[in-house]
Amino acid sequence: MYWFRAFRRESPVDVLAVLKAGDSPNPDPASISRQNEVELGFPSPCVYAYLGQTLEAFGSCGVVATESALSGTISPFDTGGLVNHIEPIRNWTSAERRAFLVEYSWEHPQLARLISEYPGKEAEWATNYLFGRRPPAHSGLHELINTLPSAALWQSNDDWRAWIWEGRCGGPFPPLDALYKWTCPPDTFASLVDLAATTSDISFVGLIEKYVRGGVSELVESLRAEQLEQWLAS
Amino acid sequence: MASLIGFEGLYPIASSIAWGAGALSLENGKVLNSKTKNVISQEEFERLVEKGHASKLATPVPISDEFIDDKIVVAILNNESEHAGILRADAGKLGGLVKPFNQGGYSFLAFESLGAFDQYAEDRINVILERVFSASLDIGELQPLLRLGMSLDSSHPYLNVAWAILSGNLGIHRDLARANVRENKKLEFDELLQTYDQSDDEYSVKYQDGVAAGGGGLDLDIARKTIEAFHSLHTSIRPVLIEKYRFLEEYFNPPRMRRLEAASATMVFTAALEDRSLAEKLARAIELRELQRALSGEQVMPLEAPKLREFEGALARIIEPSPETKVTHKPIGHEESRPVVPHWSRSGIETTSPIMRLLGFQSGLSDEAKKIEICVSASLTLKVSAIDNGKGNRPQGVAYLHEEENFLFRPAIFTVSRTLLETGTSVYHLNSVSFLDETGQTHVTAFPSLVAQNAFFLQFRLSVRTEGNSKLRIGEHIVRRGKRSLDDASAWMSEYSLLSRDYELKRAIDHRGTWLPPPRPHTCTALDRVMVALSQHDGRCEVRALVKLINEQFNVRVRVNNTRRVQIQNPALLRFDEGDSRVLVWTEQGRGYAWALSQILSHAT
Repeated sequence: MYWFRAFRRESPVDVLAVLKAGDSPNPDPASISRQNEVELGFPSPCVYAYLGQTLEAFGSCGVVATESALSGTISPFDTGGLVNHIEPIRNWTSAERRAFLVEYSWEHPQLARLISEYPGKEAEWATNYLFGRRPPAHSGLHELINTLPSAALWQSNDDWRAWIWEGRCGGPFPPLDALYKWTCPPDTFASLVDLAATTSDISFVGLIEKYVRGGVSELVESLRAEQLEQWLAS
Repeated sequence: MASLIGFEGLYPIASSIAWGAGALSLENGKVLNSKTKNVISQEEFERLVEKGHASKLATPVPISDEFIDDKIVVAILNNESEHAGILRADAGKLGGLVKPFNQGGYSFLAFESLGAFDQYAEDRINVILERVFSASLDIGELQPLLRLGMSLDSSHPYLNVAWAILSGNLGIHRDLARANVRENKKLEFDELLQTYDQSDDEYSVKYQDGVAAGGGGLDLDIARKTIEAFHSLHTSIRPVLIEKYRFLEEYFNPPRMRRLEAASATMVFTAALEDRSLAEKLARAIELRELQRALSGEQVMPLEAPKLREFEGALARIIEPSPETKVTHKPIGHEESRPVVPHWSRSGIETTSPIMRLLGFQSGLSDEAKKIEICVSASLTLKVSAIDNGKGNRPQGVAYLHEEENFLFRPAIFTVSRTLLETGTSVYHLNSVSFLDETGQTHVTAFPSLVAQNAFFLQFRLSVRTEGNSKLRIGEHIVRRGKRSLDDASAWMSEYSLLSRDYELKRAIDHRGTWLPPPRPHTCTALDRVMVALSQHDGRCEVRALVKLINEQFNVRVRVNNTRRVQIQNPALLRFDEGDSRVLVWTEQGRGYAWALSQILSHAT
């Protein structure tokens, strides 16, 4: 499967910068992301990506990177959601939330083992995962990995942020050699091509070949079948 | 009922168009992404709007539940933008349109799929290209038009050619433009760009000896015939060129002969005329390219049968004005002359069909009885050599051409084979002729298929004989004949064609039958498209779903009314369900037709 990240930039120059060098964390202390990170005890800001699709079901720009592209920490839910809306964690104290998150966080090299547990290699589970549907027949990941503390996230929530794998790192993400596909709004793409022509940026030819026309939704939808096939065959 | 409440991305405030997935509010209050089918809460959708990932409509627009499963794409047109007029399309003529509506200075077009949007985009890009190529504007004025086209479909091959040329045509422009084009369209991009690159070059055709003997020059009648032949080539390929390059429709004029060098019998053509638009130059260059290809023995454009005959006839008159004439041409971009390659002498013969015993009549002869025309169905007449059976021998039974006078319109069995050349053209060879009133009972083993043009239904045995001068017995059927004439022969041939259609379909219903596919890929008719789509639903499908399938599969833009018309025109093959008038069903004959068509398409070259 691939890592997806949706992002928004106002100018084509900034979009190009993300495509070429990867995205960096938002350092703004007033941003919701940074406030959540502080609440969860993250020492420094992170860039986030999601495995299989992006949390932003609608988005302006998006990048997709290979599975090995993210060197950071992984968790089986959207960590920001622990603060705001994922039941029952959002009602816990800060200390309880942080302790819970520590138990549910692993370094990236553990990813292959963990996704063999969840979503696993059964077609129904893998399909549900890629379509953002609730995992069947279990109340939470602790029923599949019994060393984890109990928390019925899958049963208690109606939102796919409670069961998607999140990857977070200090950035930049993704590095250029790991960019697999990307997208942006149609008029932004036209501006990017003009920009590359004006600046004689021949490296953009390589980026064009990875462009998916139609926006983030199309990006997500167009890679589902490929991901499922590869995942079940691996 | 669901409502469209927003869309992916932002309103095109500073541009002319935006497009993306739709956001549908469901009855349970959740919001559905029309493309990914992900469902989020209303609150989450509001958050995405705040972050600039999605936009909301001022007023929700109801969408019929039947479209919920579609991967709706919403196009938002800025009515205040400079190019709003280009983007506006007649909603009644757009295929796959779920709903058009206006809100707050924007026009919205909700399409049922990306494919449907792409057809709209293709249509608008043709308008843009027409303006770009025909305008005498500078790049500063053209750039916004090109950007608009890129926003519609950045992968369009001809749009990218225009962008590369008008952006400066430097290496970087060409590389970027080519990268934009999808892999399966790169050939079209390369072809048009190369044609543009060579559009200042001349193309010449030269005659030596033969008609040009005696120190060069051409007799006036030869010159007139040759020029007429070039004109005939132009009229036969023009419709195909227009189909392929719609944005140049007005510019496919007859080729410009810049010089007729009588002393050396050389005709020099050019696409580069002074003070003409880029569109005209490009159109002329495209036509010269096709002309050169035809004279080089390369694949000619896919022409319909009548145009193909006109094309090949004209080509033959140019390539071989007389047996002794040497014809050379100087291909565009080359310094040396090369011999032209007659298409009938090309190597690479691919396949020869089995010998087919066809019932027909001779309807004409030409070229001092070296060629004869044989009518083998109500819609197919073959022109075959009466002196060469394909192996250098005279066909059997053709002595009558020189010994008798009343051979026209007599029912006869013609044994014929079809040879398919590498170029995609085909040649029919006559092996023998035997008149029915001389042979007694005999049989046919093939007739032209009524399912696909230029295909043959074959490998059966249907008895046939004359009964006196007034009847023809075909299988169990009697066909009446009158006094021998073209009208009479056409009448019994029409009746025979109806019988053979029933025979072909009856066998196909039982999944029996063998077909010789057409020499060129079969172009599906409106009926064929319906049948192919219906066969994916076991012969029964709601019309709207069928239309959607046809549009996606055949990359066309038909509407429900077109499909209803197909049923009206083919009541023996299609009917509407008695219980549900929205559901189209094939009849038993229709099932046979679909099976026959599937056999022909699966074996087509």
